[in-house]
Amino acid sequence: MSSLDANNDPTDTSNLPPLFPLRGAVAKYDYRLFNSNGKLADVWLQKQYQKLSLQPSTDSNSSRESRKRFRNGGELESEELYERDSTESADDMVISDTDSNSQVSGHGGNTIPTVSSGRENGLVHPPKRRLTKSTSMTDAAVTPIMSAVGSGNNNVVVPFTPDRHNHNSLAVHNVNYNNSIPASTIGSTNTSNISHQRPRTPNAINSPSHTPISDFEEEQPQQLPLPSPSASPVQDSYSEVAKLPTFDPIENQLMSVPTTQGELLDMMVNLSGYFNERNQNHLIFKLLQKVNRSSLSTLGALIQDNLRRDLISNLPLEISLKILSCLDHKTLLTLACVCKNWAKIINDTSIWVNLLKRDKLITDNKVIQEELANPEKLLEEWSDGTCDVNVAQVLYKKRCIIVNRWLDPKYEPIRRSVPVTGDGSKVVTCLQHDDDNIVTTVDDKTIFIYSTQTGKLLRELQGHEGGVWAMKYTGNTLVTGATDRSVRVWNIKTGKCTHIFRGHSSTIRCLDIMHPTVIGKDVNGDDIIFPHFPLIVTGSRDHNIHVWKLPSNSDDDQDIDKKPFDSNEIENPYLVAVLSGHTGSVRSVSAYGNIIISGSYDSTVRVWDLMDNGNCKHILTDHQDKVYSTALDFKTKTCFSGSLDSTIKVWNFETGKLLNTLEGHSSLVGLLDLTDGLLVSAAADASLRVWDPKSGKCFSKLEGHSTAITCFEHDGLRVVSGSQTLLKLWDAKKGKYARDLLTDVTGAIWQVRIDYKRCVAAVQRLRNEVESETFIEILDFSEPPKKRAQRIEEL
Amino acid sequence: MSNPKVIVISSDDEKFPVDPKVAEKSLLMKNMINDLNPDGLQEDFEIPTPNVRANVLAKVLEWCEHHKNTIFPDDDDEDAKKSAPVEEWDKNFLKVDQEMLYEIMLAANYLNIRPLLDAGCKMVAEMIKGKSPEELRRIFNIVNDFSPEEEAAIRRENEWAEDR
Repeated sequence: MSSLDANNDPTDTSNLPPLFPLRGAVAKYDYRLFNSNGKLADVWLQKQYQKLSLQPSTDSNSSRESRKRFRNGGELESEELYERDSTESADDMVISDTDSNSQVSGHGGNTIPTVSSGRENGLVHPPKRRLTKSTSMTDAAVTPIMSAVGSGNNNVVVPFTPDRHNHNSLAVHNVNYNNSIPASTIGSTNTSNISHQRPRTPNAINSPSHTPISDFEEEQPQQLPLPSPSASPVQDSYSEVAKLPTFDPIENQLMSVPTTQGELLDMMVNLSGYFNERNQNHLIFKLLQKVNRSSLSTLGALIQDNLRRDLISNLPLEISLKILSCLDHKTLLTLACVCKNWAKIINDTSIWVNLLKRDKLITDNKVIQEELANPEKLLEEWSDGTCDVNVAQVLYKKRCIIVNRWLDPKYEPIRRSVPVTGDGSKVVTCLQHDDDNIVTTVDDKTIFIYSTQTGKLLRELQGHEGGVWAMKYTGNTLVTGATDRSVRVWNIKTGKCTHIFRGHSSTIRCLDIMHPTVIGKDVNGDDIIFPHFPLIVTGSRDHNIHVWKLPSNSDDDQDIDKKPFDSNEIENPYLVAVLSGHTGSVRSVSAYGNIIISGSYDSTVRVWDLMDNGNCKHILTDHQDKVYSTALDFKTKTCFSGSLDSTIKVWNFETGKLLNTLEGHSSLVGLLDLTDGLLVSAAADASLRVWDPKSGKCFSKLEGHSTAITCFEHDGLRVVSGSQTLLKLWDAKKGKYARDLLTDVTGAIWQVRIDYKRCVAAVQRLRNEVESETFIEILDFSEPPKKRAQRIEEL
Repeated sequence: MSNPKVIVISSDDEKFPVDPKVAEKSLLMKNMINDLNPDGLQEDFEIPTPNVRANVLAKVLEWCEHHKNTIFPDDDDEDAKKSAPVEEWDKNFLKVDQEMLYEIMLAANYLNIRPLLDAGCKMVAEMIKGKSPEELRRIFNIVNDFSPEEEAAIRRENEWAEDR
């Protein structure tokens, strides 16, 4: 011992770290010495009882058996014997008195060094019960007795009678440990009869170990479940307990003097069972203070290793889901291979729905619900089908595979080319599509409707007397504006014109449709919805903006012969407002909620508030040249405008303040698109730029076209852009070129639109030097894997 | 008398006197303090935390003390919160064994200290990222209970996500 001390000499001036790192450590919390007066027998009994209530009594018997054998034989019979004892009774592991710690390992000269040097051998009360709040009461009940007993050297307070009704009847016995007197003086214990030393029945709960419990717990022992095989009537148990020894006398443990390392070790381990949990920790702490660095490292690694636990399964589910929400899909799919329970946790709809939104694969809850509403088809087409997978997970898989196909230049989508009748030199002015219809307008009076699935021309809508330059549809209602100064409303299904709105005095150049939407909360916290019904906003070369009520076209409008509503009158019941003020052509309108943003050739952007009778709220005047494009983010109260002055300006439409000027383009910024928190601009300088709408930072420049960008669309993941002969796809997140979608176009790419699985483009092919043809190209990336494999095989 | 303290009591009856500002990092404690002291704290106020042992409570309160002046972003900005990396101090603070991490997270959940729970979740996520199933089983002491057929089926279903 002293030689070890030398190594830790504080006067040592070398820079070596202390050999015994814990030597100076202070014990705190649950490894601090706690109630040094605690009585050993009570702890032991308590543990015995716990064991009995936790496991079949045979187990505790065998554990006890091995201990007894060792005790009696005085010889370590085998390693196994020791191991069994220590592992089985994990909760009564090493413990010792604190101040006497070093003596434990001392020589056997003194028969019972540990206990004799022992703390005040005083009174014990049962260890605290963590789960009950009565601990403080127990304390209170015991404290006076403790002080009464004092710290008298050899005074042991022994619960004397098992009578549970007399909790405070404690007896003080004089035990002289130094004389090694067998414990026959303690209570009614009979040390000569070892078989009687352990409590035979779990009724030991009624034993004196619980005597100092306050009245509060009086009935509790009775209510505890007693899994005893020898459960006898309560009455009987009283007499039995009275006859039987109720605790294991420590003296017995100390009867024989250990002579070998093994015996001493066993004895120490056995003795440790007399400690309550905290003091047991304290003993180990004291022992660890004697452990050198290297050994501490070994033990530390052992402990670390064994503290590993399955955090995902063990934590409450909501926390586990939170952890999983920080991970990407690849990691999640790896986790599903770890074990069944992890696979089960990951097989959760909310995880995958959130991931779909986070990865911008589907941002609209409604779309997710629609997709999930038809699980059979989804599973059949997109799941391998051999294991149990969540539908939302399969939906994620589908969407993710499709996105990757877009970006993979080797993937060939299913393509359909549809020739458009008419003069191929005419500009295709507008294009919009959904799963069923592709609607396109040409500078040629006619509107064409094609089937998205088959490419078949479904309808030609005739009526306009000039080129159609503005078009938009919602549901079954199509709205067009033309050089003939009229706005027409059509039923897509029947192909019939239902309304003609006149009033503009020049070409209608742009239009937007507004839907009722929640724009805020009123004083009562209720949603304010505006507009109250859908509206059409049309901008014209006559400098004005008209706002019309959108007529509702029911799908089954069978009255083919009915004449369209046609009003030449000033008093058109559908006209809601005329917004006047611009001094040049209105080139672009963006509308949402109660706000209309208009960009004009008069170089101004104007903000109109429909809640305020359509009054002009702000005139934004910083542009140096004509304004060609606008975009609007209602949530952040920002609007954007692109101009012939090569800049994009960012405004707060509430205050009218200019927030930012985005510079970089070298000529006309003709097109702007704000989707999913990403602003993309396209310019006549043959480039596109991706911006952060909040900071105005330019994420990336998309360069590769050689002529002005004629059209583009983006969805937060993909940007598709067209110019003369080129239709290019870019990875929006990385800001990088991905592939050319069409390589056989010889003329202009007039228009392009995309959804998650389709690209629809209107392109021009030159037949010879004077003649050309227009085509609608449909590229579909959504072929299910199995079908695709089948088709490729057939080829 | 100096400013009244909040005395947080652990399951094993250790008492931790802290500044009310520190205790209020826990929404549970904040609500308790405010509900039971409508006129403000006049004297020391005891809060028992019967689910949290002293060692863990000390650690949690250390975090609260460090962050007593930190303003955390609102709950509704989910995306910003998720993508934000764990602060360096928190990262070091949570470099503890798995048992302690587990108990800290349970305590943060029980005491309703969202930023601490978030940091804990991200730490566990960091432990998981980029690991193979075998490595994960080792890290979290998990037994593979799949049959070879089951494992093969899962791999087949998920192989689309693997790098080609």
